Amino acid sequence: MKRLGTAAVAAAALSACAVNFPQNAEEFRRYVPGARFGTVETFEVNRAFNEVGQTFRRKAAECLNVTVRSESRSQTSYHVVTTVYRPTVRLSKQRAELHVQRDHTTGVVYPGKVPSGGPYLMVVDAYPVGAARTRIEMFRPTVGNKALIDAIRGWATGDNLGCPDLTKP
Amino acid sequence: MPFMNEMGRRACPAVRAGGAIALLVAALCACSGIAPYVSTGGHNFFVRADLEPGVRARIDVYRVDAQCRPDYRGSVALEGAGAGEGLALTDRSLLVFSFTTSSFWSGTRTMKRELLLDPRRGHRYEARLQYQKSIYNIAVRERSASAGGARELELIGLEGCRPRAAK
Repeated sequence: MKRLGTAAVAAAALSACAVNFPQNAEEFRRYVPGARFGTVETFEVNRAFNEVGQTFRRKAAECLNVTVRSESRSQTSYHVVTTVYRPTVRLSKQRAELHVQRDHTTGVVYPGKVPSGGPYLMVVDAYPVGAARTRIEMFRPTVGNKALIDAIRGWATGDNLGCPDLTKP
Repeated sequence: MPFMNEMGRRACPAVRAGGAIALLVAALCACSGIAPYVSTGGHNFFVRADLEPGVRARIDVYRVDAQCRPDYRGSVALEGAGAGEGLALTDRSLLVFSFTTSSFWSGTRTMKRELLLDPRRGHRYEARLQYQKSIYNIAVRERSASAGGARELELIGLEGCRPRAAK
């Protein structure tokens, strides 16, 4: 009973600071520039647009379709968080898109409505600017996720086609 | 779906406490259920690792039966740059590649990827494991001994296993 009471208080506190999660990639693009811990990073790479898009498709399937299980324990607590990463790649003649959603399926309570597949973590767009040149726009967090950001940069430039270690914070 | 494991435990501060504790830790590791993989027969799977300092790689080998049940057969540990090993794999096997990193603040983290491998006669397998700056690469090639051609294998784990009819 005491636990239920605590849970109710926690739920009330969380609902008081409810978060409006962007519900799709377009909303995420609009949300990031004004977010405290978000940024839009733009750069160009000396690679053909089609090549960048195909790399996104191949590497997202290979590297980002994963589940991470985190355990933390101390003398008084034990906490498990299961995190499912879900990549989506959309290719058109005008734009190649890579969306990364991260869904904590256990151990985390979201204070708001979460989009299907989990909150958006990153959206990366590629646009053709020449026969062998492509502009990249990364809508990304400024805190953490360095491995993921570095990996996607590597996929865009073609310099490093490795996978990010998503166990890293 | 590949599965990765991350453990948020502190990075063994006990080891620094003294030799006696280090011995205790070593003794505990010996009881942890990790056994060296024993190859029987000629090697057909060759692995080479290129790891930055402080990163440990391991391959856990499981034999996979007709009903897709894995049975642990042992492990191969790889550490440092240029570490290499040869294994004999004859049966359908599940190879679990893992990279482990440790730091005081973030504890010990282990990332795992799986490969279900059905070794073909007359073929050799070459795996290259790389880990640098939180980016890893696992490339496994199947090479025909006679034709000489090679193809890269996709990292598909136990979820790709199809049961086989009993002989």
